[in-house]
Amino acid sequence: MAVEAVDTKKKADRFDEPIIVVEKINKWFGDFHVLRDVSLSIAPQEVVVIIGPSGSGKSTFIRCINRLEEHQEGLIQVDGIELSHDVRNVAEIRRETGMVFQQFNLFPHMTVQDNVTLAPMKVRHWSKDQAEKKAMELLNRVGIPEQAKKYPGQLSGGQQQRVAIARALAMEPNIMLFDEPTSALDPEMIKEVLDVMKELALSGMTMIVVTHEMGFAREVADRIIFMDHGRIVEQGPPEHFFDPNVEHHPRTQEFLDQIL
Amino acid sequence: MTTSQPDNTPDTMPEAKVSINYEDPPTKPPPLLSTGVLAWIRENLFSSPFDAALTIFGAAFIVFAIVGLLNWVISQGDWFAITFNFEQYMYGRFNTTEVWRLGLFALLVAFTAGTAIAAYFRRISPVFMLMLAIIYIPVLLLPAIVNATIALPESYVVAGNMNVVSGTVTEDPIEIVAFTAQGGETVALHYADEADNSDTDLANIAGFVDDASNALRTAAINRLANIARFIELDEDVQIDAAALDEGEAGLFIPPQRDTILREYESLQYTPDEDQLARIAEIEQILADEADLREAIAAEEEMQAALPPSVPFALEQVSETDGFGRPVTVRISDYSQEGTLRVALYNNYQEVATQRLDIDESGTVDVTFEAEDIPGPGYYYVYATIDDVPRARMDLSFSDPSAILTPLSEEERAALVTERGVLLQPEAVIGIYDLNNVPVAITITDRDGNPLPEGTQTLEPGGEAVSFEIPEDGWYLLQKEIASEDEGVALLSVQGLYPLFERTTGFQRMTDGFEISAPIPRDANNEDYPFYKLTENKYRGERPLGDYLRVYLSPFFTKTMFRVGSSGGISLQTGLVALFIAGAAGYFLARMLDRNSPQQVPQRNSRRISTQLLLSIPFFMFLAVIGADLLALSLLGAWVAYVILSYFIGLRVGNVISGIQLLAVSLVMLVIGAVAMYFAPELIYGADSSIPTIVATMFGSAAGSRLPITFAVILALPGLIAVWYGSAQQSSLTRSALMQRIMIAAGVAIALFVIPVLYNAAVDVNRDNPDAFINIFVHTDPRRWGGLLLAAFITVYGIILAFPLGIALALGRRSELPAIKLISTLIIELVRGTPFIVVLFAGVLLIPFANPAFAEIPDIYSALAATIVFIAAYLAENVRGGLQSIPPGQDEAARALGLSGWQITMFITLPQALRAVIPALVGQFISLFKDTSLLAIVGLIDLTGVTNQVVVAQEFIGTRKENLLFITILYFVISYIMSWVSRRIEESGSGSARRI
Repeated sequence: MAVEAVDTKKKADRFDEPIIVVEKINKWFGDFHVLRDVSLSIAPQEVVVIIGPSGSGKSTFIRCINRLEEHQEGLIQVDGIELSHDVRNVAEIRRETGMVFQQFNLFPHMTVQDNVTLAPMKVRHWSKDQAEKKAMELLNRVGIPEQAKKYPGQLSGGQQQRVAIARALAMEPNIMLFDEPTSALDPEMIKEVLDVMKELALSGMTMIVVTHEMGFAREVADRIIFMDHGRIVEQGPPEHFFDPNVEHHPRTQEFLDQIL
Repeated sequence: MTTSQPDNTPDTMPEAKVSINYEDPPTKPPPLLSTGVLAWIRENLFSSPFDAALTIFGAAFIVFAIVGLLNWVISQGDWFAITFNFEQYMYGRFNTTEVWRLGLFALLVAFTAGTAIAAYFRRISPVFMLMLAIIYIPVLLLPAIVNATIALPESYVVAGNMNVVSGTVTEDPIEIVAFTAQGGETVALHYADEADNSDTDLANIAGFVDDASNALRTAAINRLANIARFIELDEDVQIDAAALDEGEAGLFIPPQRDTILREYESLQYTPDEDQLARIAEIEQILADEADLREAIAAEEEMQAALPPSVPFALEQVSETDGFGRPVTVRISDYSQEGTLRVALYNNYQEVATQRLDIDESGTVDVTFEAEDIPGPGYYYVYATIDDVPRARMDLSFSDPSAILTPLSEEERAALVTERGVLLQPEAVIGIYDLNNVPVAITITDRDGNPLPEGTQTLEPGGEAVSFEIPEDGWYLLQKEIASEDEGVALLSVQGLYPLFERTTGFQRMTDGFEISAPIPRDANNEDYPFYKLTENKYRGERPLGDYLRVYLSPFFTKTMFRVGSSGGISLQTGLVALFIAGAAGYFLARMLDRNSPQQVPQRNSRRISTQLLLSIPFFMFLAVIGADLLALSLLGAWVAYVILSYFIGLRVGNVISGIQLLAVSLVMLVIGAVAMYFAPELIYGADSSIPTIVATMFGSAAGSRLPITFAVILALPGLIAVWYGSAQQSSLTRSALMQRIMIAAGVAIALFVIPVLYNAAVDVNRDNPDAFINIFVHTDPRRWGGLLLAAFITVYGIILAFPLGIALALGRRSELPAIKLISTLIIELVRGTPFIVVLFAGVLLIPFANPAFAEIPDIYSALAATIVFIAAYLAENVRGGLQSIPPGQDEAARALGLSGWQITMFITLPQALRAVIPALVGQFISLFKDTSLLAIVGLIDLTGVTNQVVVAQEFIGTRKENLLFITILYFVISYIMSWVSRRIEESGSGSARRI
């Protein structure tokens, strides 16, 4: 895949053909209504940052996109494939989307290299050589080629999260989902992960990022979405959110006051 | 160093206190008492008064228990039962011509252990070396030292011309007895002087005894016991009789009294006149003594009743004194009311008394006549008023030294014993005139030719006789009384040892010297009795030396493992061989490690050790079942065929789908079934009715059916491999259901096929020794036993239960209700049932499932039951492991696009299994111990061997010894396993996160 770095100024002409379309999805956990009529469409190479208080449904929302959670109403289309009960569609979408978790979720019984090569070999049926070559390339890209033979338990949190990013990229996805990738990290390690994500964004990857890193949002995001109580309350470019003179929805204002 | 300053200006804001510490104190060793042995003792043993008390109490208890046990082990236990059945304990009745397989296997295990030690320890710890030394130094040195320094204990035989009777047993001393001896040995005989002085000495002889001398000894023991019992009863009976005489209740409860009196009378014998006189005398002494005691008691009572101050004067006034003359005493100052008496006593006996009236002056003289004072004695006078003693006075001529004293306890007991003995039969040594008759002794070779020493006569008080044995072989010992008088001689023999009959010949108990030639026969062509000592037991309390020489040393040096029909190796040699194999493994692994990379210095050794470890079950299969090289190459070819099928599947995957392949296989099977039905003779030959075919499939009839059965069995995995290979090639993800069905089918087929395969094999093996199948099966499972059986069941129980257990665990977590229900049902049913019941179900119910299954050896039914039982527990362990895996793992894997099956195989299951390794090892150990239950379903595992040994005639009464032995065996092996499991846990293999 390895998309060439794209000039940020060219982003404007990419918004016509959406890669992800979400229409009026609803989801309940038991009786609790988690997502309420959420609709969103994301263009290729767009970087969307979702913010919001905890319990607002941000994580559930992006987990619906690769079917880690099942929505009960509405439509989700990823790269032209509609998410339905057809197992093959789910598998297809999962091959197109990479995901990075708050808790890294590396496989602790495998070396870093095996973590990265497992999915390409088993799902894409690559040869071992091909998968390992790709793995080394990605580990170089996230800056930890020397850790390939170590086990996740031997790495720092930041290094583990970078391995997790490499693992997700190994499947050559078109879309990357980040579920609070830096929340479980010590402050001094957050930067190394954000740097990798920035580089990824600049390379033209479509990204949905749930995060509290406002600096990252301001710098990298094309669009910021504020969610509260299972719905999208407000969205707009970073300038909109970080301009103190703009009038916001009271919930947004309250949230921004707390974190800024 | 601190730069902070107290802030003492109240009206300014307090400054923040700044402190920078530039001081760098040097590191010091800790105080002496806080480290080392002393600290450990203080912290762990005596940290509080309660702990100290517990420590002391615990230590005392341990010492008490160990001392008691050791005492029994050394001085009483009969350890021949272990030595002679050791082989059986190790591998049951395994065919001796095949034992070498087990030997090789044991060496392989030792070798593997050696590599494992090299692989998992950086260096060998001193504790380990110490343990090895503790095991090997006694094994190597002790027998040699003991044999060189301690002589074999003597054994006792009887020569005599009269029967020896003990209770209901009558033994006729054997005149000629056959024994085996080695050339150069000396046989020496002499009277057993230590036994002929008294019955007590005779009862105390310790050593090996023949039946007649055992009868002598028992007679003496019984007589002594009877005497003791009689004396004990005698006392009680007399007390009881006395009480009854006085109309009291008596000592015994009425119904008991009759029994006791009967026993008492049965213990009495009729003595002769002299004895009767002596008995009367003793009884008189005892009766007098009883009177005396009574009188003393009365005197003490009177003295106690005397008032502190005498109310009148009492004095002796007679002019004359001395014996044989009258004496007068005077009472004066008397002013009392009542009847006054004055009594004269001699030695507690009242000899005269006078009742008095007092005159006005209050004075009276009392004169006792001369006949009341006949001779020397202790005389004294009591004055009583109304029979209450008021004054006492010794007479001047009385002699205090003449006062009688009762008998001491010892004197009394001696008299009682003497009387008891007099009421008993004559001493054993007397009845048989023990060792007072000359004995003519001859040793001849097996044909009756005497040794050069000729016939030697042993005279009372004479020299011992001895014979030199010229060469190995059978000899006859002839011993006759060389006199007309009746009598018995107890001979102490050095150089003759108890013999034990085995299938291969006769073995000497004490050193294992074995002779396979038959026993010599007499003129009537009957076997001479061989030198077999009573129950092959050492009689009496054994000193440590005898224990070492008779039991411990032969345990290591005797031929334990026979190879083929003759020869074999001792435990000592076996242990040394194991040590060498272990050391070889260790050094080989260390050598290989020289080429290991720097970062992983033990990589090579770990590789080889793991490979060996994993191959142990395979080699165990070869060793126990007995497959040989041809079978190995066939197996290799079969594995190659399966692998090849997989690659063919990869190639054809694009052309044929897995489903189509399965359909083709099914069609082939149907065609085969149709052919079998309509033209069975093509496959099976002439006799081909359907029942025969069915029976053939399951192996209950002999015939030519094996090729097709085997073809089907061997071909199936190939078909599955082709299918699997094609599935791999296909880009479509197979649904999890299909894959599960496939694996389940594979497991089911394997479970179904293995007994059929084995059954067929065994069947043919039995009917036709030259059959082709014999390359797979040499040994008869009915002959496996002991440790081998326990190990076989343990190893295969765990290995085969593993896939089943994992399948059940996954099944229980399955989302398909049918699979989940069946798995849960099996797990809960088995877990709710004791192992013994599952075993019974396996052994008793499996044959009912199909009559053909009745031919499956019990070992396999028991193994099947074990597998199901273990699998249920394993499933729960694995399920626990699966549950312990964080859900993020599953999510991450799903997000990567892995299928459910792949997630299980590559992500969750590997982690779950790592997490449950300690539990699995625990299960391994407990299964090993649970194999003791196999004895209950009729298999001869360690406990089963014990059950068999203790009913064998030679070893009756050795249950304790045998149980102690298997306890030690179980413990040692379980302990080694738990030690290994601790090492595994410490190495971190149990945790999913490897660091």
